[in-house]
Amino acid sequence: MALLNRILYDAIYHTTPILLCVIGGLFAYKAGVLNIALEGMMLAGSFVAVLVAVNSQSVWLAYLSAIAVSLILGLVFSYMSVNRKGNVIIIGLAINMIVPAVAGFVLQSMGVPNLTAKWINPVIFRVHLPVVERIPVLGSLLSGHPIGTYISFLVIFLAYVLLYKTKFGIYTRVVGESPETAKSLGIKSNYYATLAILIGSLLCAVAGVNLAYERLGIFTNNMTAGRGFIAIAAIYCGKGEPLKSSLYAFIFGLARALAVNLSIYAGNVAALFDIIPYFVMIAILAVNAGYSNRNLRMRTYW
Amino acid sequence: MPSGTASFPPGVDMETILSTKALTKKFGGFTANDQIFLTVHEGQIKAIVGENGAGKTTLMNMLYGELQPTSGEIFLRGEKVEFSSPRDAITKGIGMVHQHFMLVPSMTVYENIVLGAEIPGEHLKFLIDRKEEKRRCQSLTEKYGYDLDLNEKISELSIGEQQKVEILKMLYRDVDILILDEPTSVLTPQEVDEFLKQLVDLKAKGKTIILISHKLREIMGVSDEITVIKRGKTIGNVKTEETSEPALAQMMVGRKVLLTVQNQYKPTDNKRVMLQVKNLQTNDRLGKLAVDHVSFTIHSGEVFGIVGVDGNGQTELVKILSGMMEATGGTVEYNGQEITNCLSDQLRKSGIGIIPEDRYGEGLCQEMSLCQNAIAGAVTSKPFSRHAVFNRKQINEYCQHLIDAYQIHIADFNGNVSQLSGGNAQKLIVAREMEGEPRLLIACQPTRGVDIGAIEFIHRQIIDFRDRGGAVLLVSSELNEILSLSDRIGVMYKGKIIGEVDPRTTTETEIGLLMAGMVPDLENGIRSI
Repeated sequence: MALLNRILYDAIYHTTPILLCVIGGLFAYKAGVLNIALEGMMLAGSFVAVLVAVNSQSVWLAYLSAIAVSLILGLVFSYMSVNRKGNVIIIGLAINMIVPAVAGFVLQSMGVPNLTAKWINPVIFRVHLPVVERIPVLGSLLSGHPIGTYISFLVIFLAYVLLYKTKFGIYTRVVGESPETAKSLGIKSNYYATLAILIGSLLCAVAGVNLAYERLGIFTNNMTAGRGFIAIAAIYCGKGEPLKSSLYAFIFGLARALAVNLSIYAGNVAALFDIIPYFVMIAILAVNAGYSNRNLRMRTYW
Repeated sequence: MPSGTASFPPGVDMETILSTKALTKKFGGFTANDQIFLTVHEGQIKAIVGENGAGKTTLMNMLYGELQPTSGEIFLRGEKVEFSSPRDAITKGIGMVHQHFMLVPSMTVYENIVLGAEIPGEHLKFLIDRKEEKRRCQSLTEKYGYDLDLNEKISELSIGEQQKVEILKMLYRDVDILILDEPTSVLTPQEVDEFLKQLVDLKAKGKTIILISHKLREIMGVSDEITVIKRGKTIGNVKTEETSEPALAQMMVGRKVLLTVQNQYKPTDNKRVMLQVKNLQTNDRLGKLAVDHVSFTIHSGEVFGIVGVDGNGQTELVKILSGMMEATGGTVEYNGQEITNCLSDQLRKSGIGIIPEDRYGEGLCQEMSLCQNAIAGAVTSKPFSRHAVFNRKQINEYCQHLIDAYQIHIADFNGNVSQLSGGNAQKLIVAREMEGEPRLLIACQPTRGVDIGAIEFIHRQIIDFRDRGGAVLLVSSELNEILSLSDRIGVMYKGKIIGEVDPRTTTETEIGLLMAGMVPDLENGIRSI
C-alpha cells in the first residue's frame, strides 16, 4: 500500500514537467507548426533558473530569467520557421543541440560537474493544501507538491478555455487546420502561429524550472532526458485536445514513477527500469497509429 | 462609402459599381493578367469566361485583395481603391466564394459563418458570445431562405450545403458585390438549378454578382453581360442576349471548336467481356463502406461511363481497379483472369491503361523530366533499359514521338513536367497510356481542369480507342462528357451503382435525379434512397 501510494504520488510529481510541455506544445500543434524544440526550451529553463539562482540568490529573478531565455529561443524558432519558412525539424534540432552545448560549456568553464543552489531548500516550494491535506490517502497524494504541479493542472483548464472559447483559440485552430481559409478572411496566420509557439516556450520554461529548481535546486546537463519528445508523443496521441493530451502525459508520468520506484528493488539491473517511459512511449505511439489507420485500405508505398 | 446601394432597382439604373483600368499581374516572368479592362454595373450578373489558366481567378483574387496588382488600378463606385488583404475588400463590400471552399471542417456552420467577425461577450470581452452569433446567423438564413442546421459540423454537410455556408459567410459581412469562382462545378444538375435560382434571387435583393465559369450554358442562362478572357487579356465584352454558346467558345479558344464530340457508335457482334466487376466493396478511413457491392461488366469496343457527384465512391472504385487501394470483398476479372487486389504494375503489364484522377499526385512526377515521365511504368522493359541501364537514345526518340503524335506543346524538351500546362500534362498521360497499347483503359476525370482544345483532343482519343475495339471505363463528374462519350452509363450514389441508363434515350433530368439518390419507380413515381 505504501508502495502504491508512493508510485501514485510520484506519478503526479513526474507528470508535471511533461504536462506543462504538452499544454504549451499543443498550441503550436493546433496552429500547424511541429515544435520539436520543446526539449531544448525546457532544458534552457532548467539551466538558466539554477544558474541565476546560484549567482543572484533571488527566487523571482531565477523564474523570470528562465522564462525570458526560453521566450528568446521561441522567438528564434518562430522567426526562422514561421516568418522565414525554414525547415522546422532542422531549426528545432539546432535549438535542442545548442542548449546542452552552451550549458556544458558554462559548467566546464566553471569547473563543476553540475550546478547546485545550496541556499535553496526545495521544501520552500512545496504547497500544502489546507483542507485536502487532512483527507486520508488522497490528501497525501494531492498535497505537498511543488507550485509548478498545481500550475500545470490549472493550465489544462486555461488552455481549454483559450483554445475553444476565445477568438485567439479559434483563429489559431483555423490557421492550423485550414490555412487558406485564414488567408481568405485576412486572419494574420504568422501572428497566431508565433503566439502559439511563444505560449509553448513560456510553459516549457515553467516545466524546466519545476524540473531542476523547484524540486532539487540542482542542474545537471541533459537532465530533461527526452521529456520534450515524450510531450510531443502525448500531443500527437491526444490530437492536441487539452484533456486527452493531458491524459497521455499522465500515462508517461506514471511510467516514470514506476521506473523510479521499481528500480529500488532491482539491485544491479536498476538502470534497466529507466527504459520503461521510453518503451511506453513507443508502444503507445505504435498502438495509436495502428488503431487510427485500422480502416485504411489505401495502398501506401513507404 | 455610400451604404444604401440596394436603392436602385436592378436593370433600371446601370451605374458602374466596379471597374479596372489596365490591371496587370506578373508572377516572375509570367504575365497572368495583361492590361485588363473590366466594367461591372450595379445590380447585374456579370459573367467572366475563359479557359483554364486564362487568368480569371488571378483577376478575381486582385479584386478581393488576395493578390496585389503589379500595375493598373481598381475603381469602386468611381473611387480608386487599393486592397492589401481580403479584409480590406470585405469592409468595402466585396466578397468572394472560392472554387475550393474556405471552410474549417471541424467547426460548426455558424462558427464558419462568423469566422473572422466574432461577437465578443457582453461581460467577459475575451470570451465569445455564441448565443448572439447563433441568433444572428438564424435571422440571416431566414432572410435569404436557406435551409441549414447551424450546429452541424462542416464535415457533415454535402458540397451543395457547404456552398450555401460560403455564400452566407459573405452575406453576413453585408457585401454588395459577390464574386463566385466556378461555383457549379461540384453540384448535381438539380443543385445547379437551385443555385442559379438563388443567384437571380440575390440579384433581385440588390446584390451585384460576378460569376466566373467555363460552363457556357449556365452563363447564357443567368448572366446579363459576359467578358471573355484569353491568355490574361480581355478579348471581348458582350451582352448575353447578343451572343451564343458557339460564339463564346470560339472567342475563348480562338478557333472553331466542336463542343460535342462526333460519336457514332457501331455495335459489333463479337463482343467479349473485358472487365467484370462483382460485388466489389471497400471501406473508407472511418470504416464505412465507400464502395458498396458494385457490379458491372464492360465489353470490348464499349465505353462504360460512371457518373456521380464527387465523393460518392467513384474515386475509391477507380483506386481499387488501378491497384492503389485494396478491396475488402468482391472480385474483379479482366479478360477472364482474376485480378482482384493486383498491384498497378501487374495491371499495366496485363494490358490496362490508367489515366488517374489526380494528374500530379498519381499520373506524373512534376520534378522529373518529360522523358522520364514518358517511360514511367515501363522503365524496366526492353527498348528503354538493358541490364539495368537506361538507353537514353531510345527513350528520347520515344518521348519525341509521343510529343509529335499527341501534339503536346512543350517549351524545353529536357525540362521538367512542371513546365506543361494542365492540358498538355494530361495529354502526356494519355499519350503514355495509349502507346502502351492497352486493351482496357480506365480514365478518371480525364479532362478536369483542361482547356477546351485539349478536351476535344482527349475525347477524340477515347472514341478512337473504342472504335479500335478497346474497352473503356470512364469516370467523370462532368455530365456532358459522360453523355457524349459513353455507350452505357452507371450512376453512383453513396458507394452503390443505383441505376444504369442508356445515353441515347435518357435525359439529364433522369440522371440528375439518380445522382441525387432518387430512383424512378414505375408504380409510385420517384422514390428516394
